[in-house]
Amino acid sequence: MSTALPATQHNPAGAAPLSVSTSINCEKAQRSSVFGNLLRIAGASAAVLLALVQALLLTTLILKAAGSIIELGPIRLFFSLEWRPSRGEFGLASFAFGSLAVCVVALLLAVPIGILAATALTEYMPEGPRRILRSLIDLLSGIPSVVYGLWGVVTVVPVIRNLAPAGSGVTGYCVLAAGLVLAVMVLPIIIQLSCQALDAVPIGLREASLSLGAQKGHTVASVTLRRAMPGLGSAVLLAFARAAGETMTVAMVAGSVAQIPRGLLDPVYPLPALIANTYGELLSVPSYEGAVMTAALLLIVFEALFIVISSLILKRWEARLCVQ
Amino acid sequence: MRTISYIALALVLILLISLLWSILIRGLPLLDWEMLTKIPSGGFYLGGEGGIANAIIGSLYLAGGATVLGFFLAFLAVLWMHGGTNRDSRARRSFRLLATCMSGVPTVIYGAFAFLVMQAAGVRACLGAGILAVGFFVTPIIVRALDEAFLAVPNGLMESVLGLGSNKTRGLLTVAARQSVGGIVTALILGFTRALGNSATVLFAAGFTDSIPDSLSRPAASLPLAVYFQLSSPIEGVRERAFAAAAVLTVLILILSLTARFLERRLGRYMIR
Repeated sequence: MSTALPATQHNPAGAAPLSVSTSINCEKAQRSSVFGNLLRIAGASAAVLLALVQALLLTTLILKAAGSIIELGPIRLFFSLEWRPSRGEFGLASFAFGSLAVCVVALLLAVPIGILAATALTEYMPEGPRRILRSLIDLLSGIPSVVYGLWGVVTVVPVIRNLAPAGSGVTGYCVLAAGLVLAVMVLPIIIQLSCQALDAVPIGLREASLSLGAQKGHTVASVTLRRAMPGLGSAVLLAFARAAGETMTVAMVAGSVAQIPRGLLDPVYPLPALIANTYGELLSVPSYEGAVMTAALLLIVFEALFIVISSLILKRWEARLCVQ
Repeated sequence: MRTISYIALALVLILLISLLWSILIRGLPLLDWEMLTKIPSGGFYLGGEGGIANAIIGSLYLAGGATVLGFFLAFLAVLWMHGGTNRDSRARRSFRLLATCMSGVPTVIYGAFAFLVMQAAGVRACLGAGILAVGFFVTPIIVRALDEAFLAVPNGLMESVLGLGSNKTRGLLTVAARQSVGGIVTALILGFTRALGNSATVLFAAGFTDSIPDSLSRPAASLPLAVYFQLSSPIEGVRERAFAAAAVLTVLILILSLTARFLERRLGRYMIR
């Protein structure tokens, strides 16, 4: 205190520039704060715009679907298997079932393989090859769906056709082919997210289990994987959302026959393929458009339902595992 | 456990590599100068002359425009999310949730919605509509990636910036944006690759054509649709071109993803962690 006071007294001229420079700084801050406010307004309006687009999308779909439901009646629309636009029959049940069947097959194939592969990557593999393989899988997750569809058409479909008993009339375009291609498509995503979930398990838990005398395999199965369960669950959930909404691959591989499949080798017609294939036809038959938009709404509702249900399950799991 | 998981990993790698192999081995030999630079001529769909330049250029236009639009919207929205006094306010949290939900909406639904809007507005499928529709499709994806990048900026860094007398906006634009520049570039490239690979939205909004669009009101071709349409041709020579288009698409996306990884590492060198 006593040393600071004489300093200002000795150099009174030095104080003036200092105060000038602070006032300039204040002015600058003030000016860029106007800019900041503008930016904030622009940002908020961008956010509102996005929300509006989403709201508009939902309301349009709901309005179109409502019109169609009123016109055709919910039973003829949702529970009828008959799809004959020329006769005014727009039953969506077989499409919904087709979507479900393809997704279930895809997930049954992809989830165990994906989680096991992620376990190998995070728990067993040495550092060097692990890093290379993880970058490779990251890279492959960016490949567009139409390329997977092409691979399905030229590789998976002929293999299934050749393996099927001769004379059975199996074309290869079927539930199994679509499920397999979708499974391969979601595998990189499942592996990526599962690796993240497994990485997040504290190393101390593994060490504690090992020090209690548990074997490595036992530790992985009943400590690491168990603790990572909520994360693995959300990986599966995202994979399901991806698989259910995937359009081009199923449009290329599923066979596009509106029916309830009796087996894995029967063709189906999932909802997204229906929407994509009506491109250009929407205007030709009245009430076609409403039915297709109902299909779109159905797809969104499916995904939302699944996400809500599984996030509830995840929350319960997390609570039970006491994950912080 | 060890054996099973290694078997699963090997299976995954075999499947994915066979996929890449089968596309590239059939597609790459077809790529010559004519395929890459000529648009389809008269007898193209009967196996005649021409290439897929319409699809390559159309795809670049569509994805480029959509990424610029999406990045603009997303960057503003993310600055808003991180610019206020409270990073975790209710509005910001719900916007984050909205972006997550929106990025889960299937591409074909954006396509169907774009179709309805265009029908109501009396617009036919064109490049402009395609850019808008795909732009709104990639915006939530970019928002999520940018949000992640900005969340990685340590709180203490922003606090010290504010403590030195800067205001929040300047701190965001000069310190936080520089800090997360690797993430920003990654978000940009991610948006571009997703826009490039999108086929279902483009199908409804941009249509398909044999020529290179010269204005926003013309339809535009795109690589995924070139694959889709040409694969269903009964003529072998045209089907081959589906492979050429798929190979171009795959190579483009692999190069872009590799660039993103490289830039993220390179630009992230001076990050304060």
